[in-house]
Amino acid sequence: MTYRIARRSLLLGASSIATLTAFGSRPSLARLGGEITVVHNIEPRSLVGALGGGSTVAEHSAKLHDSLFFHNGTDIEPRLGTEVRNTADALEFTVRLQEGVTWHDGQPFTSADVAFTALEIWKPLSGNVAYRRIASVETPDDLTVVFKMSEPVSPEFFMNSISSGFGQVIPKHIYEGTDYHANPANKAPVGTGPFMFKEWKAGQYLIYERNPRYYRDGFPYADRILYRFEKSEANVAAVLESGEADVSVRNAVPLSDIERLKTMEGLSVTSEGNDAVAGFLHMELNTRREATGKSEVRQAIAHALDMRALIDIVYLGYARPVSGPLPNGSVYRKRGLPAYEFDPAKAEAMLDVAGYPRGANGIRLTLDFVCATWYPATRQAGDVVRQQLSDVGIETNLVTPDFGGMVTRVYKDYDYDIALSNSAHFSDPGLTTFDWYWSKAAIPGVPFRNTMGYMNPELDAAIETALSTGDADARRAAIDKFQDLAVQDLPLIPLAETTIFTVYRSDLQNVADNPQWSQTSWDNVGRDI
Amino acid sequence: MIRIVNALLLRVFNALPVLIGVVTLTFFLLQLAPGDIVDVYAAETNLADPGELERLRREYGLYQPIWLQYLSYLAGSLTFDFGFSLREGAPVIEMILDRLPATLLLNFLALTFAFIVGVTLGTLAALRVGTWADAALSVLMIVFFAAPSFWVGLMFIVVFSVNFGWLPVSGMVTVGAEYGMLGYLCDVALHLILPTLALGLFYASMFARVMRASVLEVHGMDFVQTAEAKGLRGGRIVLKHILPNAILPVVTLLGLNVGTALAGSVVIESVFSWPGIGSMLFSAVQARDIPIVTGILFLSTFLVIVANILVDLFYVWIDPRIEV
Repeated sequence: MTYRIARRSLLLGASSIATLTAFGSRPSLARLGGEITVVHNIEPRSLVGALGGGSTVAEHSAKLHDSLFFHNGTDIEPRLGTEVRNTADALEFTVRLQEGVTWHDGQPFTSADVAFTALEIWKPLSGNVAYRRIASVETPDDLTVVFKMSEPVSPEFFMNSISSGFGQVIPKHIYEGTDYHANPANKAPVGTGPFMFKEWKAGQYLIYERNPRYYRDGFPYADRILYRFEKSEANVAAVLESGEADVSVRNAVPLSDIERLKTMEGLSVTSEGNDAVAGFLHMELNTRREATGKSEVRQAIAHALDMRALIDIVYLGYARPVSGPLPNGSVYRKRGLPAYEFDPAKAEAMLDVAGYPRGANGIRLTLDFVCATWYPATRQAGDVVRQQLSDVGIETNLVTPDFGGMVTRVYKDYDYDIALSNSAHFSDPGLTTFDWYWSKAAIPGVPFRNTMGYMNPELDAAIETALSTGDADARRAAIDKFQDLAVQDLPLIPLAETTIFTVYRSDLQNVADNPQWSQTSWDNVGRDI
Repeated sequence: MIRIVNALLLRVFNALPVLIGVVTLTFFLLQLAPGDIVDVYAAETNLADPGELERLRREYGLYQPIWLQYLSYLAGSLTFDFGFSLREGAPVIEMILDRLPATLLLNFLALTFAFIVGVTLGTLAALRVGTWADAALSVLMIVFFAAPSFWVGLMFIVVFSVNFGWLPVSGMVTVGAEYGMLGYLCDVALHLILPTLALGLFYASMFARVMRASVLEVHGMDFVQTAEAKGLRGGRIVLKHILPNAILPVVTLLGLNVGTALAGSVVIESVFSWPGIGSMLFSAVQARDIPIVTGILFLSTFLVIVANILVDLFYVWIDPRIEV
């Protein structure tokens, strides 16, 4: 089977001839040159996404590093790779590479770089199953890479993995033989991307400059991208209003400022461009514990929670309900999954049946409730949830540890009954979502991976099929099955999918033009002609 | 002179236990918090390999007995070697030294501003005691003393940056601007105005209130009355007789507040995104990055001690009767 990259369409199921013109109705013309100033309240820890680090690192890394392919939402476009061929048993993938690519320091980019990144970085450091199954990598010539798998990997999943930020390639000649976590290049990367690292003043700003040797002709449009960091969220809006910056992404602006900014001359606000990178507010239910180990109790809790009220109170309406484990924008999301509508009476009845009647003091049971504090909204949601649970007779011991405390208590010691936290979900469930449900994903001491101690052989089997099968229809059926079981068993209750806003100066072009815009290269972003 | 040098050496020697105490206290208090740096690092990077986590823990000495970790940390601190930050990927001392100047600059300017403005306004208020000017100054001082400095800072931003567009919202330099040395200095100066005012006005109002009371007290003393009786007039009496005596309580207050100002600048640094050590401290605590936390606390303690010794010397300079 060969992937003719430009013709494949995985996300929307509609096939089209995708080149850059496939952005459709959006104008893609913009002036060459100029600067784009971004203002953000979170500074990245490093600039190399291949080494991990979540969405902030991904946002920066994508400007400097290329992945093998790029998923524009409709189609997969070539980048460092031009073509993928896989064997029918889904055990071998051959990737052809782009000719004439050089690293920012002038060294040639070859298949050795891909092999090094795959074996030394992707496979051991990321949790991605497609990468974990790489047994060896062969490089018959400078422009050919052959991935040999230890177990079959669904080609669709493999393609989605190497087309995402998880598929960025880093230079062998800089990293080989070093301590990858301490390599100075993590803070001053050498990539192949459209922009080159120029300067980072910690706590202040970061500057990227156009890569004059970029292999894609005509890109990037802008000469420079400047990142400016604000410690206080409130300042982000002030910086945009005073005209000192052009764009802020990923809700760096407080939600309470959104309505005001919408009415401001010269500024635009959009919630597009994030469909493939959804953020959930969710509740983890520790299935090792007696009460939350029962699916009836978990379902009762879901009925007790008024998610609409939660969205209105905590997110000022800027969030969407979510009815399954996959985000609303994912093409794999199954429609018509049963929803647990808000019904306190039903919740109480279910708790009665499950063996938790109200005691003399009106309390049915008391649960340890750990609430994350990394976003102010999550902390506020903790109070709302606590109140709603109390209404049906579930009392909670609410604790709100800081980041380090949360990681230890919930994700390492598993010392909780319910935990309120956040998770990120990509369109393909193999990229992060499965990690929350798959019993084999749990690794003691490694956070954000089935911390609920949940195990259901049927659901495990569905996940494993979706990860391995070479048949696209069988894969979709397995993902549907996974969603059915996840909603039915409810080890994790997704509460809301947060709306992600981008605020930008109205003369910027090609803003939010792909489903994970903040985490892409911005090679076509520029000002009006 | 030798007496002073000896006394200074004694001071420095006495400071050692304080420094060791600070390191000890912070080290063990931070050990009480659940979680270590590798937990946080793994969470932040989605590092999903138990073997790698194991390796990192071993490399950063987290499996060593706690007293051994403490001793090696203490030895490092006293030689200003605070180790390596896994999370930031850089030696701690380098990171601190990179950002310390910004904090020192802001604090130095704010306290200098506060001292000059406070002493001047306090003296003026005292000399015009009971007039409308005194009343107006007193009200102003109370307002700036009572208002939280972060709120004052935010109001400054709203008024001077967003509404009038006169001054930059925050930061230390204009991002990406290219200019010569002079342009750079002007740029930093512009960025300094609002945070210096926001931090300095609080201390200025405190100093002014103390100065006013002190001038009033000294003004009533016999030697001032004598000087007036001898026919000396206004300016000379104030400069030669009243000020040197009245200023001592303010100098004491200044010395006491060097430490407070360093702490207070954590808030102002956050409001104005000033690239100092304050915000670094905050995120390091969250991340269990103990080398950075103890490093910053050690250096801050060190600075407070140095500042106090300098204040003592300043005492001697303005009033020779005082012994070190």
